[in-house]
Amino acid sequence: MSTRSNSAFVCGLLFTLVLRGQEIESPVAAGADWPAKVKVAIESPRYAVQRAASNDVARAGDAAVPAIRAYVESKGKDALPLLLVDAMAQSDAGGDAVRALLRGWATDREFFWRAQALTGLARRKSPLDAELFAQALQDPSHVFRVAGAKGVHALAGAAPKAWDAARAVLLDPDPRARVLFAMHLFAQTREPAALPALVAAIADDRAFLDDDWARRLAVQTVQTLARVAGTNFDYQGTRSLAGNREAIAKFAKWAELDPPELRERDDVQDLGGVEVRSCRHGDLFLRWTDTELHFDLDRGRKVVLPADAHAALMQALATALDTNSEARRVVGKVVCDYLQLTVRAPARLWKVAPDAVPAEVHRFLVATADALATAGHGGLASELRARLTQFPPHD
Amino acid sequence: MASLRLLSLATLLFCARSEDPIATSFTTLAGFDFTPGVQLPQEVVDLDDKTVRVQGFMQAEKDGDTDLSYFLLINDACGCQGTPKLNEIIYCAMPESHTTKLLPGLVKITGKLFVGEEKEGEDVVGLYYLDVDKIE
Repeated sequence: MSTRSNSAFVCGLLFTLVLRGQEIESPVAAGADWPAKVKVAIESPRYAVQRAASNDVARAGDAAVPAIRAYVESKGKDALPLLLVDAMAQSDAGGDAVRALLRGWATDREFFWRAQALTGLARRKSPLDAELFAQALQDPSHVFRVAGAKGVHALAGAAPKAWDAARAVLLDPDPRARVLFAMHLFAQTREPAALPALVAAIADDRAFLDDDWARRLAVQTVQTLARVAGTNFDYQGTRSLAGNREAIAKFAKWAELDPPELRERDDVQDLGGVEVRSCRHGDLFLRWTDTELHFDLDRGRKVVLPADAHAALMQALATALDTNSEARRVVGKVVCDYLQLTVRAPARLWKVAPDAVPAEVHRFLVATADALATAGHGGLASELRARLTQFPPHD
Repeated sequence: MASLRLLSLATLLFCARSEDPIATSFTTLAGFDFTPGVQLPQEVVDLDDKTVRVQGFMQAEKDGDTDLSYFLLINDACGCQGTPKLNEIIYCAMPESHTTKLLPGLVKITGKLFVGEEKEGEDVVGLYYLDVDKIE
C-alpha cells in the first residue's frame, strides 16, 4: 500500500497514539495497564486502533475483566462498542471471569450486543448456560436465536431434547436465521441436515429495496460449502443468478439434493418501505406498493387495504416528506437499533436513531398501524405498534 | 517547444485524472477466506493502486460521528452479524481538509484502492484502503 491513503492513515494512527500516550507494542505483558487499554479500545477515534486494542484486551482474558467492569460502572453499558464485546466473545482466553461477564451481557435484554455475548458463551460450551441457550430459541431477534442454537448445538450430546428444538432454527421463518445457523452447523460438524438450507441459500437473489441481503448470504454460503467441497463449481458472486445456475446445480448434486428453485429478485414496484432493525428486539420489514402492504424480508405477509385507506396513508407519507425535505440523512446517534425509511419518489432515505424519529414519520407509521387494525389485521397492527414503542416521536 | 511540453504535461494530467474506474464489489473483495499472510486472489491483487468504484454501506469509525474525514465502507447494512472480517472493510480517506456526512443506505464510492495488510501492534487491522474521489 502506498501514497495518500497510506500516509493519511498511518499519520492518523500515530497522532492518535501520541495523543493518548500509548505505546505501539503488545500489551499482553506482565503489569499491562488494562484500564488504559480498555479506554483506547472504546474511545479511540480510529477504528484500527479500537480493533487492535480490543484484541489485546480479549487476549488478556480474565485479567482485563475488572477494567471493563470499571469502565461500564463509570460510563454505562451502552458505551461498550461491538468491537470490544465481539473480541471478548470470540477469544478463547479467560475463564470464569470472562464467562460471567458474557453471561451478564447476554442476559441483559437492553444490551445492544447481547447476541454476540451469547455466541461467546456458545463457544465456551458450559452446561451452566444450557437453559439460557434453550430460552434464546424463542427470542424475537434472529441473531439471538442463532446464537442460542449454536449453544444448544455445542451441548447437544448432553441435552439431545434441546438439540431437537435448536434444529428447528433451520426452518426459522427468518431466512437469515436459517442460513446463518446452517453455515455454522456445516462449518463446525458438516451436519447433513444443514445442506438443504445452504443449497437453497445459494439459489436466492431476493432483496429488500436496495439491500441485496440474499446475495450477500449466498456468497458467504458458497464459501462455507466450497471449503468442504474443495471447489466453488465456478460460482461467481458477480454473475446473475441464472448465470450461476450450473454452479448451483453442481452444488446441489454434490450435496445429494435436487437442484433448488432459483429465487430471483422480484419485480414488484415498491414505492417505499420501512425497516426497523433492533439488536435487542428483532427486526421488522414493511414495504408498500400503490395498492398493497408487504411485511417481512420475503414478503411473507401481504395486506390489501381498502383503496381509500391506502390512499390516505400515502397522503400522510407525502405530508411527512414535505415537512422533512432533506433527501438522505442520518438522524440522531445510531449505534445498533435504527429505523430506516425509504421512499422512491420523491427520493428519500432516512436512517433514524430510536430517540430521533421525526414526529411526522411517526404519525405516518401510527396511521399505518391504525389502518391495518381497522382492516382486520390486528396482529400486524400490534406488531408495528410494539416496534414503535422503541421509536417515540421526536419534536 | 515549451508550449508543446506543457501540452504534453496537461494531456498526461488529464489522462491520469480521467482514468475510468474499475467496477468492483465486496463479492470480489470479500469472496475469499482471509487470514493474515494468505495469498490474495489475483483478481484482488490486480486492484491495488487502481481507481475503482465500489458499493457498500458507510460506517463511522466511532458510533455517532457524522462529519467524517475517514470512514469505513462495509458490506452489511446493520452489522448484525458482528464485527466485519478484514476483507469486508474498506478504510476510506476523504481528500485532505474535506469531510463528508455519514450517508444511510448503499453508497457508491470512487477512488484509488490500495490492497495490502496493515498492522497495528501484532494485529493485522486492515487490508483495503481507499482515497475517496467521489461519493454517490
